[in-house]
Amino acid sequence: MAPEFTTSNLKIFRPDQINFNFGAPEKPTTPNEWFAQKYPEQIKKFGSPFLELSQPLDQFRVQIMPVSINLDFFAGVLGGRKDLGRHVIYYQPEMDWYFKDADGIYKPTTACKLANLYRALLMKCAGEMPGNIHLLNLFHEYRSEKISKSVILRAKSILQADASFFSAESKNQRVKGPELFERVARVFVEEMLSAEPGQILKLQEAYTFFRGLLKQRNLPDLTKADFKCIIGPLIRDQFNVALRNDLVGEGKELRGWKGVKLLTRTLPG
Amino acid sequence: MYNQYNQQKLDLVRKAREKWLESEFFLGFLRSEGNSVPEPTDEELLQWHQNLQRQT
Repeated sequence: MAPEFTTSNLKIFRPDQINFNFGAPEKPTTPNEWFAQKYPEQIKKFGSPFLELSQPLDQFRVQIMPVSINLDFFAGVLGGRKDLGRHVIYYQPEMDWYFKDADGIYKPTTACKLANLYRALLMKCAGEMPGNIHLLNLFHEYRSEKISKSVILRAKSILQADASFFSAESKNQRVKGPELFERVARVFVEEMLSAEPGQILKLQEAYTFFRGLLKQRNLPDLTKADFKCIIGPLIRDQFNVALRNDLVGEGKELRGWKGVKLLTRTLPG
Repeated sequence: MYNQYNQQKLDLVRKAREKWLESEFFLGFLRSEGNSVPEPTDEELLQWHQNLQRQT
């Protein structure tokens, strides 16, 4: 039978519920309390992690079930806890993720790894809940690909840092790897190209656009031969097409990828 | 008095280790595979905890 929703049995966690006493914290009895204990800063900023439904089981007990998730809160959680020295940002100039490691240096990470962390936190919470907590949404629904991706997407704006974060004047240090070209190439293929039957992505057009992306990020230029080496496997993985030299378009022979389209001719940002 | 000091130190190490484990749970998912760090000694933990409190 579907749960009956009334305003009296739908509850959120309020910031004034955060326990400020200096003794040992009480063991959390609901998912909201669990996350509030670990992430009080995010509670203050983004509000309650869940909307929880409270239903009486019998005269003495109630069952608690999280029924709606606050994406902003969990996006904020992925930014880390200041009290543990942890920090994660979405570095907008490269459209990539960085986290501050134990040595204080910012290192690259991926959206997939952040999604793994998000799902692991929910699982950890589920594993520490008492028996009267309904675990279905914590275990299944909120750990789905769809919700995980939504949290990461929201985190892109909430944790966004601009070019000044790693500027020469900034105290933030990062690891700079030789794979920077490939990272930009991945963003180019995953976010700026799409499958489009009948269309042709010309090699020259793709190369010119890519050089613009590199220039925008103050990265060195690269040759067309190097570009083909980097981008070819990525386009093959994403769209299952190889570079061809025998395509015909605009009344002449072209080199490019059939069935792929560049979504925009304007550089982002 | 020595026992009291010893107990205080043990409590501090325990609290520092709890925080370290919490921190490593977070970082472990973000690091590249094969880049895990070894568990620190008690002294290293206390130093880490002190540095953390100074920074935050």
